[in-house]
Amino acid sequence: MAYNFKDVTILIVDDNFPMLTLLKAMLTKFGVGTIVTASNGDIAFNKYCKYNPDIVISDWMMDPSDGVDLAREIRVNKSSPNPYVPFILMTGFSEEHRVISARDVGITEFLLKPFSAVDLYKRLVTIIEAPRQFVKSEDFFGPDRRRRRSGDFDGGWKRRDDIAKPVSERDVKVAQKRIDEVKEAQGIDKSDDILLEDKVIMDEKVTNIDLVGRDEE
Amino acid sequence: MTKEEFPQFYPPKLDLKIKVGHGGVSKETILKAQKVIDTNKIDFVDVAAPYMVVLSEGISIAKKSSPKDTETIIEGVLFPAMQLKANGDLFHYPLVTHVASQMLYFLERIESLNGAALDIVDVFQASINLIFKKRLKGEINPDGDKITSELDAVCARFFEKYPDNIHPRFMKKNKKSKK
Repeated sequence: MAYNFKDVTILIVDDNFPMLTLLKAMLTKFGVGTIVTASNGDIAFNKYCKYNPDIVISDWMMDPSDGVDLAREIRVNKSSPNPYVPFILMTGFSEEHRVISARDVGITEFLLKPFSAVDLYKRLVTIIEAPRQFVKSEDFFGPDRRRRRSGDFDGGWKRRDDIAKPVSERDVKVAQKRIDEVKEAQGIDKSDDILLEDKVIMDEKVTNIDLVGRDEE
Repeated sequence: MTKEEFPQFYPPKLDLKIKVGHGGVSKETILKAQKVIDTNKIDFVDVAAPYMVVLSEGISIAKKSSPKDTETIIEGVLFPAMQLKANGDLFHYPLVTHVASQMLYFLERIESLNGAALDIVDVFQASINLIFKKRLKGEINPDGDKITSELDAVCARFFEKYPDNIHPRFMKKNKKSKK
């Protein structure tokens, strides 16, 4: 069994036509059924309202309106057909202050350019398998900006105490057991890796236990 | 009318998961998608031409401008540098991506673009022009390594010599990491 993208519609936005062509060809190889293209944020928002795509993949820097403007419109404009749509922002910027400014308008995932097919695939998997809860505050509407720690993370550690206090196997087993219970209760296949609300709560519990005394120095 | 209370939480949407099913995508499919990048015949020199023009204009404006309007001036050069970094490798010019990435790193860290900083930006522009002129495509070769090492060294010397021209955003981080 594999993903079936046949019924999926993706809106891709980039003012660089060769880039747009390349991305469209890659998504076609993944089997995406309908790909709608646009060359800037304004055109994209009109097409978004018309086609109501399942995913939006947009470049950041475009004229007259860019990817961040588009994300804002999709999240807050009353004529937006689905303000919860997963939004992947492609950008060459990797500096933290720029990423944070984009995240604060409701971006779901970032795709750093230049990227590979694996990078693109990973972003798609994340939005499919780990959809995030949405948060509405006085000045923000978008995916929850807090990231939860994954137990199987094997990258570099940022904090000294991370090495001293890794997630115990027991914590992971307890969390996994609870997830399986939730999946069974919901009638979901156990092989599916869905982040249900209960798993999020469970993750939070594990993270809270584990992060005691681990604040950034 | 009652006042809305914040924050409000909305559970994750599972529509997409339901639509695509499970099981992921096969390695073969991912390789086919990668092949689209690896075998594209688009000439990046043509793609990059407008960015090179914007870069030249940005540098010319920076040379004529007052140092007060520094953020706008830096953004004028930063935008084409970012585009070159973002697209080079996708169109068989990884060396352009590497050099533009170094340029971006430099531009993100300086507070004003004048004097020695402008000289360095000139060197970056000349390096990218050279890469296009010599058509240094494909894997980065020893010549490419030499260019990137020299540029790294030039930037390091600049930051050592002009610590006052480092953006406060990065000064704070340096102080924090020293603690």
